Amino acid sequence: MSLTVDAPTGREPGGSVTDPPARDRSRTRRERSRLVQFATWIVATVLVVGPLVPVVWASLWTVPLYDDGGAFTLDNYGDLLSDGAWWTAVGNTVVFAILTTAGALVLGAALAVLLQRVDMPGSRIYRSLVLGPVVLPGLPLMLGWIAMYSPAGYVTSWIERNTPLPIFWNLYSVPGMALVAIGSLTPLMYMVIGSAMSTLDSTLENAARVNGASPLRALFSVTVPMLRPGMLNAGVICMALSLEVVGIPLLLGTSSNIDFISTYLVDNWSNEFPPRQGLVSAGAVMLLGVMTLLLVLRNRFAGDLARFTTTTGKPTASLPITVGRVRWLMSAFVGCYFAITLIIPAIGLFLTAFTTVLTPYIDPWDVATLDNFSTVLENPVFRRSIVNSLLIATIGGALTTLAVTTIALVAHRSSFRYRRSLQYVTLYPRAIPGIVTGMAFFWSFVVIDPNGIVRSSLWGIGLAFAVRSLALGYSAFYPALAALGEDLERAARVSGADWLTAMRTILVRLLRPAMAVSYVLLFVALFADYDPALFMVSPGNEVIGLTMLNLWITGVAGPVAALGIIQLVVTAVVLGTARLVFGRISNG
Amino acid sequence: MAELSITSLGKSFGDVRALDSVTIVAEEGKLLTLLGPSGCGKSTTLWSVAGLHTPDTGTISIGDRVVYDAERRVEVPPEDRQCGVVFQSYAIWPHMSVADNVGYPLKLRKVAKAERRNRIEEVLALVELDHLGGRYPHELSGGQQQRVALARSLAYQPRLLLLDEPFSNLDAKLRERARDWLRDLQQRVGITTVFVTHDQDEALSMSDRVVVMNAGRVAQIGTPEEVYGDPADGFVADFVGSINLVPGEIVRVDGDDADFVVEGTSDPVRVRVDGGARVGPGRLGVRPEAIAIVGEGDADRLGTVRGIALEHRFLGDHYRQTIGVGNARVSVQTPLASIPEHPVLRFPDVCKVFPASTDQQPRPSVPTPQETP
Repeated sequence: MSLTVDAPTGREPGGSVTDPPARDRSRTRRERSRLVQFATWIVATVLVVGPLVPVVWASLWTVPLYDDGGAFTLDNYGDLLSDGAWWTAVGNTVVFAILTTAGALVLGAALAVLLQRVDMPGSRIYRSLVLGPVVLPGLPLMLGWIAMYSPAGYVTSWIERNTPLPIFWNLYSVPGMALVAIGSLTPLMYMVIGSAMSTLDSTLENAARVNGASPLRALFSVTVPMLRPGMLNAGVICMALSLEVVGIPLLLGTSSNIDFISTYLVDNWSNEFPPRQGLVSAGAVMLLGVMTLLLVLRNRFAGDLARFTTTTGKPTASLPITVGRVRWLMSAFVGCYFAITLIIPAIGLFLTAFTTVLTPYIDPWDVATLDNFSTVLENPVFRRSIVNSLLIATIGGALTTLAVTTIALVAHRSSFRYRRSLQYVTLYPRAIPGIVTGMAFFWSFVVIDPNGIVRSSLWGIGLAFAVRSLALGYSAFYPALAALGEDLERAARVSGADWLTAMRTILVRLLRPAMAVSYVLLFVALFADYDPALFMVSPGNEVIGLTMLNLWITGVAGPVAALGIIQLVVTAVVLGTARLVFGRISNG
Repeated sequence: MAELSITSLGKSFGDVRALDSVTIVAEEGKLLTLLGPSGCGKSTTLWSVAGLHTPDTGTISIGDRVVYDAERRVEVPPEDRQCGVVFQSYAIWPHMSVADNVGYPLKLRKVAKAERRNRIEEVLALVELDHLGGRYPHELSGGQQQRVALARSLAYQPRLLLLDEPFSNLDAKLRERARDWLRDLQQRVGITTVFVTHDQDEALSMSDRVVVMNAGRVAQIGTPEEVYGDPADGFVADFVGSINLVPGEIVRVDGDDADFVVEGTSDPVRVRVDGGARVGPGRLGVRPEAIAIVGEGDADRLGTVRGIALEHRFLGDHYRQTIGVGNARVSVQTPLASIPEHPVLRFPDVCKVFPASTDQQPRPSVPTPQETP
């Protein structure tokens, strides 16, 4: 045969042992891959864990880190633990967290069972409604809650005026704040429990049916008990989120002087003179410790972190359970839930934004106005907030997506020595409360950038937001990576590609859709985030969320609601566009 | 001259020894098969050669180049080993066209565009896919995908071709054709090839030499005929083809002849064992097709034994009879369904007697260091 695929006697260029340039080239290529892997590890670790070092340092130091001198001390912890206000704040936070977790878990589990397993009218609409609060920014809706249900709110006043019903709730109390939190966390609980439920083997339930159990009986004797690990996991997540919550106590607790851990720290930082920064750092370290413990606990329950990623709307293979006429009752119950937690607050936000004053005593049409929106567009603070948030979301989202991709590839697809630690580093920001992230970056910039050039720029806040969102981007990205067979890059390696080339030409290309999804989620998260900015904000680097929070507290309702609407609309447009584009890709 | 030589390769996963002193030499231009049950270490060996797995001990050289040496800390990365690999999953990149897949190794080697195009055409013609260069992988059938994977692995003229169970995703009929086709192609190209499979038919029909592996060790190396006809131990005998391992006892050894008493019978059967046999319990290894059912007239001859017909099964081109002999159930291959109720079986002239205990390695015929367990 005269084919050129002859016996491999004529060695191709670069193949022979005795070809020194080829060996050198291969060595440089190998060095290049290692360099990238090592740099990724260093940068990720420094950005995630590094900023926590100055917080711990500040908590153990007599003077703020921006002052000279100082010495080691434990006094900050002593001051904190002997401060009655701290313990009151801890007590409030714990009661709030327990109430919130209990409420959100029960409602979340009920919704998961009703929407995913029971044949109920309207469940399709409900299933899409329930996802809204998970992806849309939470703050605007919370403002809607206040506009409607606070003691002076529209619904409350309306009931007082037109019905003999007693008003049994008060949003400006710990249980009232728990109500708001339940409203915003239940959808998340629904998702976590629902995805645990969809991984259950439906044949188990069928087995109970075959043995004579009625559909409901099978549900409660087989499925519900098996959900216990999922519930436990969801409970720990909910507890952690309730402990670090900032927005709710700032909005609702300030007027009645109810402090939470977060507001206690913020107050002592910015409203005391001189600011008690050592004490605040000590509080932050303790909060961080508790959150880390909760994360460890959760990993115990969840086993594998990757399993608790963003599983959305995975269709269950099991048949829905038919329950006869009760289904109408159930549907009505779920309908009421959505009306109270979602639709009425949304209307509240909308009305606040489009009226000069919202009260049942005046017909909203008489006070309808667009002034709030023109205020937003004319006021430099509002305008800057929008521009800044958009910048952080678009550019920060892109950079974070790149970072997440690189980190995930090094962590899961390289032979780098410390690759395993990288995964934990990336997921750790989940355990770091937003305000602690903010404080951590504040202190870090104080140490490495004493002039405050970065700290007062948008880059500082953007970096803090990005680090905080690493875990989210990673969770969205990882399942797609895990689904790609490793043979694909092995084939590239044996074809002659070094690690970096194999990743670039094969995996990154194949992962583009996952990167896009990751980018959209990061955009939405970064656009809505505000917690870390509490400690970093200065004129010029405001972001939407914080501006809304600060101005609402000072009593500016209308323009803030208008800003909230703008935030919601931008987010919805981004999500909708993404859905359209990706839907088309997956269909074609 | 050895194109691939593997010496004392070892690999442990915790307490499990995945590879235990594996020593294999693959001759230039020949096709060598690694055959064994799943988990025997055959794929680990192959991947160690490709550089996708790092063994713990031993050396691997391709031609005169050492690509792995545990002691001298030599480990050439996979991209510099010049091995073409066909994966079980094919691992064709779905985002590239067939031509781009095949051209990828050439692009990495900075082959000029025109030359690259020629080469792609040439290799695709070799695997009979010359008209499909513009297609994408999802538009191809399983058999075509497999040939793309092969074309890609051959595109840059590697020194070794490594195939990891390449036919396991094809259906039975296609697999048989692919086997002949690949063997033919390998001989035309003349590339040293290492082929991993758990399918004994594949191994026997394609290979120049077969390495039978078991529990991380090499059980036997030989031509297909040697491995089938003269298995080194009970494991090889049992794994390669089907064999009766009839329990019993050697009661007398006389040079190359021995008298074997099947368990549950009293009369000895005279078999030739070609030396090496010892008096004591053992298992007589005979292949079903090597046993003949003879007429009553031969009943008293040496080397025959009488049994009871128990059942038979139709297997297409022959029947598989199960015949009770003493305590043993012996499989015999016959062309017809009907046999006498008490058939007389004649064992082949040369038989092998394996030790009574199962799956041990009694007579090492392989130059591997043996350890007593």
